Amino acid sequence: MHPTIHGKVFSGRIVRFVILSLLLLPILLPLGIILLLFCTSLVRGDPEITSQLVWSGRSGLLLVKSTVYAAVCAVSALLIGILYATAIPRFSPRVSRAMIVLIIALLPIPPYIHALAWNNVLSAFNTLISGTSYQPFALQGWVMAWWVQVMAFLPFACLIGIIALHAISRDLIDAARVALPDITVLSKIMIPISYPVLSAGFGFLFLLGITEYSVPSLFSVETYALDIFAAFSATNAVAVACATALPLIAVAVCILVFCQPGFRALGEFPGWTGTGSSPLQDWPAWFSVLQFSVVILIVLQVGVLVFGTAGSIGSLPGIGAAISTSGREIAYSLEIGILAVLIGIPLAVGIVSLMPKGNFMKNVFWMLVTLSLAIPSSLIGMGLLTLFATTTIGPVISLLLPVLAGIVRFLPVAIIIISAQFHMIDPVLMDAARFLGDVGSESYRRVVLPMIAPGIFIAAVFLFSLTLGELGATLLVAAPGYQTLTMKIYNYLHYGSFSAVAGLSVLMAGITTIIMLLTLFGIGMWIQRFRLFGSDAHD
Amino acid sequence: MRMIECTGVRKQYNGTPVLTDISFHVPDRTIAVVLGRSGSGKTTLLRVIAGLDQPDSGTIAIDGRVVDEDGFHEHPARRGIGMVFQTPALWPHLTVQDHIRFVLHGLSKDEQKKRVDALLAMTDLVSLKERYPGEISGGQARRTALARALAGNPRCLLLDEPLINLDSDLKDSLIPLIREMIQISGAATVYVTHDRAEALLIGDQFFMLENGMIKSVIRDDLEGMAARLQKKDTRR
Repeated sequence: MHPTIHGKVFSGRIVRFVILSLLLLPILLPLGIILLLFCTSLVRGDPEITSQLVWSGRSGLLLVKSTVYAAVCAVSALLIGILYATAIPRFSPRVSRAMIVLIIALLPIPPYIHALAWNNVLSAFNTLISGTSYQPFALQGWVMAWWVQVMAFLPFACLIGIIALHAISRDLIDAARVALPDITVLSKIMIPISYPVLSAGFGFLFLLGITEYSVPSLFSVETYALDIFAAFSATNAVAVACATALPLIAVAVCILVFCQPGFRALGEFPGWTGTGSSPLQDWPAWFSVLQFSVVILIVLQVGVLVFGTAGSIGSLPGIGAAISTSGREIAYSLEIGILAVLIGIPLAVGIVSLMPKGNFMKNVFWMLVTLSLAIPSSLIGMGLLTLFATTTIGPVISLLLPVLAGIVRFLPVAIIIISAQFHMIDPVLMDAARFLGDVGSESYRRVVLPMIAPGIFIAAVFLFSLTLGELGATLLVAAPGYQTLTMKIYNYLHYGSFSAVAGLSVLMAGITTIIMLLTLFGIGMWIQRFRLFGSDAHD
Repeated sequence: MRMIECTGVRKQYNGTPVLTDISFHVPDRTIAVVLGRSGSGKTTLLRVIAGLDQPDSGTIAIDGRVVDEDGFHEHPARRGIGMVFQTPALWPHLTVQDHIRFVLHGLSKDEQKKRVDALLAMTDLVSLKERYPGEISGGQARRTALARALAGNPRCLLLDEPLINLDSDLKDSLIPLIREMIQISGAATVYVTHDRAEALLIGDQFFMLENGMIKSVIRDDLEGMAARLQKKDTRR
């Protein structure tokens, strides 16, 4: 290569690297600050830190319990998700589509609404059987926390199952179907091929389960993540909370590293929205029973959500009263959600567009992008508080902190979705645009952006909904005197004010579900208009 | 004996008829080549015979046994067929020898090993048996797909343009191998292609698929068509 051209290419790479680093800064800076604070305190020999590093038997046991809890929740949800994905093709195309839309509509409903719904329904059931000889359901404890957590994970787990199994090339399945029964094709071909995506799904659910404490705490179950929050509340020292969190972070990072190929596969998987549904339909009786049980479970889950929340309001004026007394919280939550989208989505698009080339650099990239998933939510909140501690907290920063909390926690999800959409673009289209005279930015605007638009919209809805439901970090960084809808619901739940919570929950679930459905409808129109993904027809 | 027999088979996708009235049969130990333009329904015909797609109406019988009829559809794995697809369709997590072994699930370990070794030797894949699909060339992948299709001693073999997108040298080396292996297996074969020269080298019996209808073509006619086409190409 000519030296001048070589120099230009090199300087171009440096510029890309610098811009990418700047874009990643909002995610990585709070994590870096926590690490810096911890290391400084450790070097100083702060006795509070060193005492936290000496592991007590209680901490060890709690970590083991929390790890097992998160793993069991993730595996249970994923197994149900796989069964649901295999059950979908048993129904007519219209019902199959409805089953997928139902799952997507359930996705943005925050876990504590599931907790409330199950709590209400089981309480009502206990009242019903109170006069009989049957034992009432225990509404507290590990089993209840596990069940509700699994129910809250179900929409995501089902979606992962659908993506993993339905995106496998039809030829690979057919080649196995001509030789072996469908159940063997599933266990020996489809599950192993979709292993990376399934492992990413496990990783994501496990990390959510181990770093979050909202569901277990509602059922009086103490987890390690709650201990971190308690350590900070007791000492007000980020370094102490960080020292407490260290073993949990170590476990979470191990899982993150283990699942890294899966996250990368998910982000660079061109078959995400795969047009081919799984052709397997010939199942043994025992498997069919499992499939139908899972479909019934999902329907039951929807029923519990409807009756467990809306049913406890009592009357329509109940919703009205809840809305009228929560106007400020609703406005604050919407502001945060919208700002998270307005800031986060351009960041995600920029980060995906500048994704480095080469296997090693891509591995580093995905590790950095997903790192925040392994950090407990309360620790992220502490990092943000520390980062802006030196600033006089003005009104703008107070609003920005919860926004940043949402971005730091959930931008990885948006990046994975946009990246997957990005990788679905046929490179020939880009080459054709360049060949026909479009320069870089022009072809990006006219070719790339319209092609990745569906991914951008879906990522925006996810970021909005997840930020709206975020609790662990927002509890710490919300502006004084302000609270989000999520915080209000969570506080009400602790006080046992169920009818008020139910009204707000219906409102919250309504907002997110309607936005999700509208987005799906819009994307469907967009895809149909431009016929973005080919048809299924054979030669 | 009629090994594969289709009678009045119809199939449409999203309201568009692809196969309108297909009736033909392939005798035992015969290679029937089905020719046709892109989009003529060749792949659909194979998929329907394999049981991967269900015909809207008509009857399909394999080895004298009805496998598809109104209201009855037998699973592909119970039809006793082997199939090679347009793409090699190799499973990324299995080695070359595992692909062959996968089909031999009913046999003992010793019998499996014997069969795998024999097929590896026939397809010249012995040195590559431990390799994964990502570590072999396009031609080697096609040979693996052929060995897998033949592993279960199928009574019928279906090949869907197995040499598509290969360079002519590779095609020339694979055609005799495919023909030899089919003859050794004794399977009744339906071989789909759009290449007349390839069809003449492989086939014993020829069919043309046009507008969803199938008609028999004799070798001389096909040779005449191929010659005229070659002349036209030379003039250009």
